[in-house]
Amino acid sequence: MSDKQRRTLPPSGPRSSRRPQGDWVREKERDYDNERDRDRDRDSRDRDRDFDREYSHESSRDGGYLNGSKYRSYKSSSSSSSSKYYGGPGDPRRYSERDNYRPGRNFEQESNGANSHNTNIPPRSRPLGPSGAKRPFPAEPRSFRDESSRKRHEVDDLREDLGSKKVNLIALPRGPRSELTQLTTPSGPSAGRIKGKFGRGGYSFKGSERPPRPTGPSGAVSASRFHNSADSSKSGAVVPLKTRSVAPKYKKSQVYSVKIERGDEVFKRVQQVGEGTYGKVYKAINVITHEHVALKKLRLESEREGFPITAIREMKLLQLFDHPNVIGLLEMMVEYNYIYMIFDYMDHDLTGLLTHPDLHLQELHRKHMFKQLMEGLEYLHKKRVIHRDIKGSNILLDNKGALRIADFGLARTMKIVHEGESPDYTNRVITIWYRPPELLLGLTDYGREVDIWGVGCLLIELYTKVSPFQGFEEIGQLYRIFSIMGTPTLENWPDIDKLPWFEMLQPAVHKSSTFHEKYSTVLSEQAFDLALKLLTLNPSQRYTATQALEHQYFREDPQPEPLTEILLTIEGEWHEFETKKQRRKERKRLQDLANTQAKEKEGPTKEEGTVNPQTNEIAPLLLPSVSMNTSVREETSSLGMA
Amino acid sequence: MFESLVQDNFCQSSAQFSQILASLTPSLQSLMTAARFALKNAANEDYLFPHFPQTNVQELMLKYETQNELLTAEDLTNIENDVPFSEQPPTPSPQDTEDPLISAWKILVWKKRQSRYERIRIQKHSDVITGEIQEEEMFNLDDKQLLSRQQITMRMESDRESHKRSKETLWIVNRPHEPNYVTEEEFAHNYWNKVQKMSSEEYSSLLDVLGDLNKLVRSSFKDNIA
Repeated sequence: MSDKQRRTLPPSGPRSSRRPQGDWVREKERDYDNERDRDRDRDSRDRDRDFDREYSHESSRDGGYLNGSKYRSYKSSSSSSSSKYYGGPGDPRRYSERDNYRPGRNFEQESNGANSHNTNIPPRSRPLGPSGAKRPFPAEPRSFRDESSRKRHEVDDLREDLGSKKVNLIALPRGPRSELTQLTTPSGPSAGRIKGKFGRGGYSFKGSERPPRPTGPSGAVSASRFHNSADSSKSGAVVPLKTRSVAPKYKKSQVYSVKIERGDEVFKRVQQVGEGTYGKVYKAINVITHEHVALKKLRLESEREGFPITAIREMKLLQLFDHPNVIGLLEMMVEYNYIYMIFDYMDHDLTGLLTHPDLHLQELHRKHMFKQLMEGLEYLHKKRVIHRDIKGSNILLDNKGALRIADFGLARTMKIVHEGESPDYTNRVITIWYRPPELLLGLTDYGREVDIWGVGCLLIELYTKVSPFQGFEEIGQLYRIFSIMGTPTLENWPDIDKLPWFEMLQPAVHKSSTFHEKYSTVLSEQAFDLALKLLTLNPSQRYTATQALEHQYFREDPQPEPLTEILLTIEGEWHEFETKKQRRKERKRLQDLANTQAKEKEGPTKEEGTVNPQTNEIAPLLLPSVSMNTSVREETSSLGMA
Repeated sequence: MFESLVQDNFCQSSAQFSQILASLTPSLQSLMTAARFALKNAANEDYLFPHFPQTNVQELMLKYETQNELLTAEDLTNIENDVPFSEQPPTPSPQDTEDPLISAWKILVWKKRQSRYERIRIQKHSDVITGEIQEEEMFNLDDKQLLSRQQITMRMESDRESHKRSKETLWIVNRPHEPNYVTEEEFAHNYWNKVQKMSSEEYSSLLDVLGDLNKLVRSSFKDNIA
């Protein structure tokens, strides 16, 4: 996207993003022309007022929870700029302190420098969006005028100040903010970072003024972006001011985050790979490093009560983790009012991969995958975290066979409970196929065992490729569990009647377990034994992750081995999202086919078998005559159609 | 004179409260209004907060919780003989002076006893089903006297919803109007004494978590020498 287009993005991201691309671009160009005309008529007061509003709008949204370097830099730079002029809060004290006491820094010199250079010059433009996008001026609410009039005097004062420097404020260019803020000069130690150049530990630059390249936590990505941003400045239509102060020299070690102002997108979306209540997940490529990443775009438009607490919880938890089998959060990104979580890209998820018709797993592969899963889960459980959404589509795999547990949207840390207290969590967690019986019976005082049931289901899935208990709602799910595992007895689950919903769902019959006859031949001997222990009805008797890792299954031959070779030969990427989409397409094709056949036969009755238009079910009679691929067959069988 | 005034006040608030209750709708606002009024006039309305015979309620609650004492010797004999549970639920007559709370607890205990009785009886005497069985048969969903599938699902949902709502006000602390600041006593009561000492296991787990976090942070600093 060119700089020109970017600067004229419509004000509301979500609405505009739904428009068709062609119209959108045309409209953007039109907007740009309109804005340019408008700009000529605007005086600096309007500009100032809009800045104030936009700033307050942005800062009220941010909540200050995010830690992404991009976001942090934006926030800090805007807050520090406003603090000088509008008396708003500056950077948190602790950051200044931390940076000031860095070894080797000439504190005194910088302090003096600050006094000599410091001016009360405020930013002369509205702040940019976090991604550097400049939005057009939205319609002004009437009530706002009073608020802004207070500042007009200050603007007049400022104009006088600037007059001595022969800068015409009205004719100031309206380009990216960093260009304009070059009016400011470095001040004292904590203010040594020029606004727009140095945020809270942030850094940015334009043109030939290039500071030493940073290295560090954000690594090659940030460094490369840093390097590239010079190109983006060329495309900007803004002429930088001549008056330019000299940036203080910073050591590499003093740069903690890099503020990036680029005209182009750093992450270019490739395709959508997932969707949930939280929002959408895209596969994207980092245009600088050419590495693939996953962008999890948080859905904020449907949130009435501000930034979702579940997302905050997810970020908080993700920051705690450092394990090869748990997904790591690379960074956070704010762009066009959307918030993205950026993860390493994983080529497949377990559900998607298992639907691959040519995937033939061997015992050693399954063992390797399951061992990684258990190790990741053990790590989480040791950290007192319950995942609460263990399922195939949340278990990701890369091409080398490395497995990672992802999606911590429902995860939580366990409370420390004392005698007489209860943890009291919600039982509306875990996708229903992987939900353990105690949650289906209303338990709210649960623990790590709920995750173990899910991995038990996944162990079976690794062998059978289908989930063992596929219910549609709670009662159906419990029925499927009891049908296979048997109804609970007084011996194996004596205190089941203490569960809140047991009275409503007490089995009226004594059903024996069919687990052995169903799975003992499909699973290896030790795998079957382990599955039985993981799928114990009574949560207090269920295996823990540590116990599972000590099981004979992982000790006996064949030893676990990664399925690298198989994965490398697999074409494409297999995620549940895409395979589901494929299935839907295939089902639609089948339905169309069925409809055509039905028409040809001049409308046979339902009993003769075609399609029930209400349920979209394909009646069994037609199925054998239609060529179906494996995944469709599995889908229909899992839905009880075939 | 004073007594008559008190009496008047009592009658007035009582009548007012009856009116509120009569016009009570299931909306939250209406319920809140009623609750607020009741709390405000608690002193005037003895009938609102009667003194229950605590011991009786506690006994019943204990009975409900402990499974062993629930079934009588007669029940156990009947279970052995495969006799279906036949005892009728306790129904308090309008003339009965027993407190409604106690009656309610008695019904609950009876229900629990029946449930446990039938559970043991089914396990001991009914044939073990090895083949396929329908959902309706497993949970007795076709029994008109019991809850239907839809009713069960609705109850589950409303239970979850009320559970969620109950947590929305957990953070609320009842503060005295005066003084305006938190006194030492209040702090001790509301906060300090609510935090208990950690067990050694909890303490070590906390240290582990903190240690890991420290390592993570240390490794993320670029000027870290280690």
